[in-house]
Amino acid sequence: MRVSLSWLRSFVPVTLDTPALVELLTRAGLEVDAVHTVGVFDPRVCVGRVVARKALQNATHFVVDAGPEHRAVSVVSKAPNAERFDVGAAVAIALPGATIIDGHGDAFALVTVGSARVYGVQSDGVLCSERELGVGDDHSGLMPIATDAPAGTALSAVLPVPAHGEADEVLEVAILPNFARCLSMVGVAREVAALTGVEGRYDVALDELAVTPGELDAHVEATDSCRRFSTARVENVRAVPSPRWMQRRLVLAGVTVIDHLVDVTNYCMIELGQPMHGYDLARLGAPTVGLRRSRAGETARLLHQGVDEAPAALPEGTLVITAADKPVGVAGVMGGADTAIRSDTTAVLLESACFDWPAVRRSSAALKIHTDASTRFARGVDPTLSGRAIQRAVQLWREWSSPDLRVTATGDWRRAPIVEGVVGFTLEGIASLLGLEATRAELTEALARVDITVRDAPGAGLEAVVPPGRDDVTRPCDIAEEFARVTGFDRIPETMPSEALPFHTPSRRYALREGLRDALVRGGLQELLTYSLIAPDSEALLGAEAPETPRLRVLNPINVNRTSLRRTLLAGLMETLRENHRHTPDAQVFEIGVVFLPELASPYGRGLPAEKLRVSFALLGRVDRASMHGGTDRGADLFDGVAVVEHLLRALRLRGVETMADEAAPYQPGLCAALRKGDRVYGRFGVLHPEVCARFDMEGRRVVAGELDLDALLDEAGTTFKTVAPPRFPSLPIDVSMFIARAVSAGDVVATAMGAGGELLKRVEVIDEFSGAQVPDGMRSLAVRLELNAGDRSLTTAEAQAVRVQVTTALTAALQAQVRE
Amino acid sequence: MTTPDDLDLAAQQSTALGALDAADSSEALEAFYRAWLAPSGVTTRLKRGIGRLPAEQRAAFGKDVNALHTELESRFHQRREVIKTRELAARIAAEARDVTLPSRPRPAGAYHPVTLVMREVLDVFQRMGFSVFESPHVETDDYNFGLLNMPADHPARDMQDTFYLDGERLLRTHTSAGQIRAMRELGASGTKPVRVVLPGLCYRNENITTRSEIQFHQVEGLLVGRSVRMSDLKGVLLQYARLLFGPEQRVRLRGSYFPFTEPSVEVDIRCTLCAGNGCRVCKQTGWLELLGAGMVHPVVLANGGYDPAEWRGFAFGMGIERTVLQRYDIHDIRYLFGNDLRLLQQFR
Repeated sequence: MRVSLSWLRSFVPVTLDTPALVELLTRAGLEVDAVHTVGVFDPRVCVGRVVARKALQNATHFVVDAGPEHRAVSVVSKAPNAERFDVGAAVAIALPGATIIDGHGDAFALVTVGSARVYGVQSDGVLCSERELGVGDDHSGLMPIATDAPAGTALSAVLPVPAHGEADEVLEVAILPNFARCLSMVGVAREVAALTGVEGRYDVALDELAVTPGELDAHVEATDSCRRFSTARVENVRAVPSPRWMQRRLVLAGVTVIDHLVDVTNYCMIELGQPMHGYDLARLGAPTVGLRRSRAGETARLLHQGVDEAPAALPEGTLVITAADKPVGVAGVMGGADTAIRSDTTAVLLESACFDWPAVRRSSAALKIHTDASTRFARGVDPTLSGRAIQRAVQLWREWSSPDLRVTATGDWRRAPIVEGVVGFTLEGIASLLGLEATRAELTEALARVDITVRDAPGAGLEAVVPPGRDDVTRPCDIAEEFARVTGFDRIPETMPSEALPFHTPSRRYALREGLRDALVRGGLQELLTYSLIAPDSEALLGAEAPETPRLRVLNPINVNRTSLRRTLLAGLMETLRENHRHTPDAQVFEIGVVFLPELASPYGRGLPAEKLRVSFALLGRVDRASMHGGTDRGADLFDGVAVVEHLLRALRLRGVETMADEAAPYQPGLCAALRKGDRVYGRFGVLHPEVCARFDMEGRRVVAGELDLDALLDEAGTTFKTVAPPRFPSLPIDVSMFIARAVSAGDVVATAMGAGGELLKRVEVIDEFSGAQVPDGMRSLAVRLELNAGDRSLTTAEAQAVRVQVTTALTAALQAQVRE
Repeated sequence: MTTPDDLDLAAQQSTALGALDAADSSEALEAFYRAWLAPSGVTTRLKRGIGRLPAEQRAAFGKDVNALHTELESRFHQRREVIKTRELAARIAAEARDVTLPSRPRPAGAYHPVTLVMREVLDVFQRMGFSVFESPHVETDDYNFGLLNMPADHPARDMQDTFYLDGERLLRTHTSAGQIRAMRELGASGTKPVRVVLPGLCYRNENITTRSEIQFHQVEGLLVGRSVRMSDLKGVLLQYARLLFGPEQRVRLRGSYFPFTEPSVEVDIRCTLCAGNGCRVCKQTGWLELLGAGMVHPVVLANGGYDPAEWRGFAFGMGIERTVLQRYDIHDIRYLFGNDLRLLQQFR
């Protein structure tokens, strides 16, 4: 809502300066998003001093000093009196970006000052006339400025602005849904009056309509979507240009000026908040209009359509205005092109209704048409207004364009009597909700400012009588809000809850998840947070899931890259590496986040998808880097992946989880592992298949990655563990070398050795792997180190030898190892 | 072989001391030791040669040889200290490096800045007694809107552009969607108070620009009790602001509108950059928008299982990304989920 301050002052005296008014409105819930300045109020309009002047053929070229940042502004002026402004003279200069008033023609229009070349000379501003500044009518030449003020001084500081000048400040106020009443000048004026505690004159004085001769019955069929439907037939009217003051108010409100017949309906909407529509009676083809739901296949050519355009299809059930049962407009949204007021219109049927907001919202959304009218109806219009708006329109027409108009019929259908609301409440209830002491007198006075009357309720307590337009006030808490808003939220003190409340209960999953995040960052990985929405095509690049895997797609994606809820975090990580690898060739990243699996049931039921927490990582490029101090560059390999996974398991205090060779996309065969415990697979990791890297535009790069089911890991994770006392004697290492079939994994060797070694064997570590000419076909050479310790004594050679024999015997028997002595 | 010359101990001493003075490194000193003092050295050899002396000279000679040994040993130790000190000084001088040379590479991870701010917020509320409650990203229309006093076609739905999966399921547009779940799950059919914060990722169908994103994080707070007042909301948020931004912090309330709270307010804090003096970030007002809040609407309390005549509550909801942008002077929100590593790695 654009609120012109001069128009606002016609209803309510505003003594605050503009910043204070902005603050006041903002704090009461009417947030001012911007202040637009027009003419002399614009800060880009300032005192300029002529530095040089040169005559051009039809104009004058000035160089003007306009303050410290604009010492030499080149401006071309066509003003006839330009010759009279000598070097040193003061001029009113509007710099680029300033809004001034169009000095030409009779119609009121705004001009945004820009830069241009005029007669081949650069012109970076406008030297203004009185009319352009909005301080007077004169547009015969540049306005002389009598001032000693230095160049660059805001002109508003030196030039008196007459009360009836056209310069103005316009507040752009964001209207929240419960402030529908403030989508009007009168509504805003009432708020300003209430907040400043002054008396406003927002009731526009209206004459009673003299109606000759009779009733006008609109055919209201859609009674479930309309509270009130007022109509008037007005004859002997003329479509002439509106008076300049009205044009000005409409332009400042952001409304296009057309002619007086149309302008008045718009003016009433901005002034009172009641959208209206005028139909040309001659073109309507019926003496009155009706209101019903559209039927299948119906169409209407709407106002914003060209005369040659095919009529717009109306979705079945759209609330429409009809004439002779034919749709001529969409109720509360837009009228029809074929019945619109034109320059030859002499008789008008005025429609001024109170449609229910759901119906208008649906029409507006279905047709994707949002108008000043639909904006108001979508939030609710005061049902008391429709009749008054008709009176006001007739009055305005009579005053300017149509002094001899006749109102030949009126109609006023109401679904039910329009009555005030009554809200029962207690003073204690209000005070204890706000935590603020309040007397009945204070409450009564504050609420009276917003036209709410407080009286004794029939039984006990109080009741508030609420005007019919205030659909937002129906409960005691609404009364409390009005009271707090009008008297200022500042008065509410700061207290702490005075009752016993539950203490913080730590969540095990939250703590473990955040602990894991800490561990991964400590381990040198960069955390990412990627989009939950992704393109299925991007996930398909991984080749891990069949294309027909069920996915959740949004009905209304913003673009083709954000259409579906992700089933994996890996695609997002790969997209990130793709976008970064050219400038950041080494990256070790991870993400903890949810994926969405519609095939699994959600604990929340109701058809919601399972949301599974995953942890995913990707290592690209070097993990060790050479420097001037030495070292070598080394790219990430499978065992860096193993290290990340082991790090992660340690952080979660997870024991007994096995890594096993596996083969699955998107990993390269032979470099892929699954992490499992018993039957439960927690996920996979490995080196990504070279083709996968290529599909993510990283041909020739190697990425080590993995994704694990964090929900499952957290189920198993331990929050605490038991320590083992450090041995008092040093451990004895025994190395065992063997040839062993390639099919036998190192993990099997370690497990077999551990199983056979007995109590004294504390640890088995693979220390070497070798393949070559000396190794028999189909085998490899492995060396393991057995770490023996008896804890509280040193081992004897015989004991150590016995363990070695147990282990080698088992390796030979179970795994056909050829142990080398 | 001991020669008569060898038995001239004075000459021997003079030779030895000359050699000792000439030894100017640990290695030379070691050689001296081997030559003179070790079991294979001169003094031992002299002692062994004692037998070839006439018997009456032996005692005196033995004594003199011992004196020589002791003397040389003492001189040796003195000399060794000198050399050690000199050599250490030389080594230290040789090892000196230019400390401004580049460091050795060392892996360093980093948190996403959203995590940093999210944790800070949650830590403060947890210290204040709030528990963390998490709810799903995909919600029903009911939980996200209907049960929060926003029936179909409600004007407040204009405030949020929603991603729908179908007519019923959607991506939550705010963490308020978890309010009803928290009340129903923790409130024990409206018999127990609740004090929780609900963190999470939310989604809005908006164009991605420097200032707006399709996903963002929120933290919702919900406190339900029998005597909760709006002044408690103000006090709790003041305490939060002071724990986070310092003891001088102040809060102010402005009127606002949310369908699920009544009264509804916007809560501002003193601008953390200019301490309220006015700056670019606070648009010269001295105040920064902290969050939206209000007293839980009676309809919402009832939907959560509470009798609104007996129970009241307050709720608040704040965005995390806005704070991230402000605090780290990031001018484009797209860096956050676009994950430009050149930006993120600055958090190492």
